[in-house]
Amino acid sequence: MKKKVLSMMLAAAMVFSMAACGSDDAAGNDQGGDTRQEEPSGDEDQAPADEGGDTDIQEPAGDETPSDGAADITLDGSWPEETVKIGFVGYDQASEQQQAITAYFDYLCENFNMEIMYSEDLTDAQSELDFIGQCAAAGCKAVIGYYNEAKEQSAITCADYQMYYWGGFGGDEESVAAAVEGAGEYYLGGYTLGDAEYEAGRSMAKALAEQGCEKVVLCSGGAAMGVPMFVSRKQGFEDGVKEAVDGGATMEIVYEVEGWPGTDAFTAAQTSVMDMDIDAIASTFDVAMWFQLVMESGKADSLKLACIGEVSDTYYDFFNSGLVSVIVYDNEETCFGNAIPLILNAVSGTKLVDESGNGFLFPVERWTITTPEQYNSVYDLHDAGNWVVTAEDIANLVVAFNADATTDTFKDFYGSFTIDSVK
Amino acid sequence: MKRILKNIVMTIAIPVLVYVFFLIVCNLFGSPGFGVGSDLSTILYTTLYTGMIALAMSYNLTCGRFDFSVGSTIVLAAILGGNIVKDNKLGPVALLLIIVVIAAVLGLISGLAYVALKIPPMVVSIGIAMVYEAAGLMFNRAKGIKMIGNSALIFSKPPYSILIAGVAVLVLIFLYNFTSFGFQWKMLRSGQKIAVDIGVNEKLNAVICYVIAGVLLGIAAVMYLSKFGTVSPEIGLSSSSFFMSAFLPLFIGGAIEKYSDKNIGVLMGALAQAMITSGFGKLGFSSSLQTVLNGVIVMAFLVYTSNSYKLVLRKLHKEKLARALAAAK
Repeated sequence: MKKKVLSMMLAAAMVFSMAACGSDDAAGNDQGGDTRQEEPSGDEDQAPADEGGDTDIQEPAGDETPSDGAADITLDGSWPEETVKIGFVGYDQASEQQQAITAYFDYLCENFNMEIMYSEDLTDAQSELDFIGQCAAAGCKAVIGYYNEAKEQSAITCADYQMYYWGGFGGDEESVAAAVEGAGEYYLGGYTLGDAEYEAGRSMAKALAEQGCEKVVLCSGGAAMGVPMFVSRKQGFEDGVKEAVDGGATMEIVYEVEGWPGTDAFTAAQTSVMDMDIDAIASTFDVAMWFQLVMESGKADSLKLACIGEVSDTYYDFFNSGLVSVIVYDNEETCFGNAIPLILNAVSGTKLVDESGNGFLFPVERWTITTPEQYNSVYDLHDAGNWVVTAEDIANLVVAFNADATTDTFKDFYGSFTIDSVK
Repeated sequence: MKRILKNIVMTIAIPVLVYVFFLIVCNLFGSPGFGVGSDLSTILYTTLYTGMIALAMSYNLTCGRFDFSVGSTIVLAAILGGNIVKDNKLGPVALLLIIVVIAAVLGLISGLAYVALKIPPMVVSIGIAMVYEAAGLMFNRAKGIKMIGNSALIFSKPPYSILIAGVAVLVLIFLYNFTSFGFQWKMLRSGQKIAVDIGVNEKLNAVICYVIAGVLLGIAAVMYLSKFGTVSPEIGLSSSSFFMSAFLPLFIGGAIEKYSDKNIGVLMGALAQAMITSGFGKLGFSSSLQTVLNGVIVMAFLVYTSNSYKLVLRKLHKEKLARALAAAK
């Protein structure tokens, strides 16, 4: 008898608990459905874009128009009212580029009410998607795809979590189209440098040709391992050399160093290079691992180094001494900082969109620095705590601050910067 | 006398054979100059640098303690010590001492963690490696250490490189052959349970091994920093790349040990490895091909060392058979 009573009680408890779960789920679903409906739904909110033809801004979702309170907003880190958490998908926290971006974002976080959540060093698409999930759990409103292996899947995953995604997929238009289709309103777009990696290698070769370098050693990084970025950079460099030769220059790649420093093979290859009669060493990544060797070999006055790198303390002395003569530089403010106005506009209900009402690719120029004056103009600016693109500039591209901000003004602003525009 | 001569020949046989092989091949394929000039200086650097790492690993690995934190110890010691020297404008002696002391302390921490936690050394060392890597990243805002052009960086070239490596090897030979630590280490390597049962303090011996490894890794860190002038933080266990080239010297050292001293054997292995790497570079092999060939060489050597006893058995069997046949006649 006792067993029967106990069984009935357990069965009843199970039924009640299942019923309770069911009602929770239903409520959750309903709420979720309602929330989704309250999100700016493409057609309605982008109606002004359709009507206006060239109008580039989604209307704010709320009743207040952005310009209503624009005059009251100050850049003291109090706007937006709710802190905007942003996830940052990175691959190497120790890289100078990511450190430069972090420094810039730190500055922007002092002026806008936002927090950046940086990933650990991610190595593959799965870890990237896992991090996006962590961002959603942490309450992020948007994700910056600085590192991207999962391509459009990252944007689609963000949309599933109702987070905005910034990233241009290296200018891959097919991925952008897939992101627009799969992530819809949650895809913000990103910058393109054209065939970015290829052009970086090509620019480096052309700059060295203009400096009269004839015999060049190429450090091709992961090209031999089939890493796409390095394959493109190497191809660009080789084509740049061909173009230079076709244009009448005397230039050839006399030796290729594969892989990265830290291995015995790389060290042995470096020694071979130091014995060669060459004019330049071009690296499709960092070039700092050559400094000590070149100085010890006594070739610092005759050899030129070129790389795809940063304007930082590392290169300051060597650029000014002439040892480094070319740096192909992705400026952190113009290439990556543009994510911030796009995100701030989107989360405040005034997403910048193209004429079709979607996130968009926009061109930004990669800077090829070939003179100490150019290098120092950027270095001195940053060293003094100033930036090429300031918080005020960004505020001017956010509709809440400037009701006249449009996609066109955004594109024109970021597309206008060249190395020569830095004073 | 004959035995001593045989031991000397067997000790240097592998590096000499490797040198002769690459000298011939490089000349045949139009790349003369193998093993001379700057090539020689690179071989010397690689021998000493890789030799220090291989020696550090040898004291733990052969006792069944695989230490995954070797690379992270090098990186963290170089970053911490290098920054101290740079910030205080200190000289080369301070660079050497500070980095070696820091590495020894890191080794001590690894050893104590292994002894205290009582979990498999592989697991402990992975955890330690991650902690050290993270510490290297957090220190100096992930900028690592950059000392390019600093006058303290003198330890990648002779005579200083030979001097510090030579002193280290002499101390190791003394510890290994003439101290109770060395004898206890050999006993533990041969049979841990029996050694512990007869009173050997396994925990103390293990901690000392970790500290010795730390000192050797500190020397490797000083050499690396002197060579390149810069060390960047490593994360996600990427510091493991620092010890990948140390396995062949370890195996060669194990094979040579019976003819000589373990420490000298490992150094001979490192010399052979350095010449192989330099020879491949001289021949213009791509890095991917080098990786494949290095893997094949390590595997071939392992297959040989694991089965060499069969050759000895066959030889003994033949001798026994010959004696039996002779007796029967």
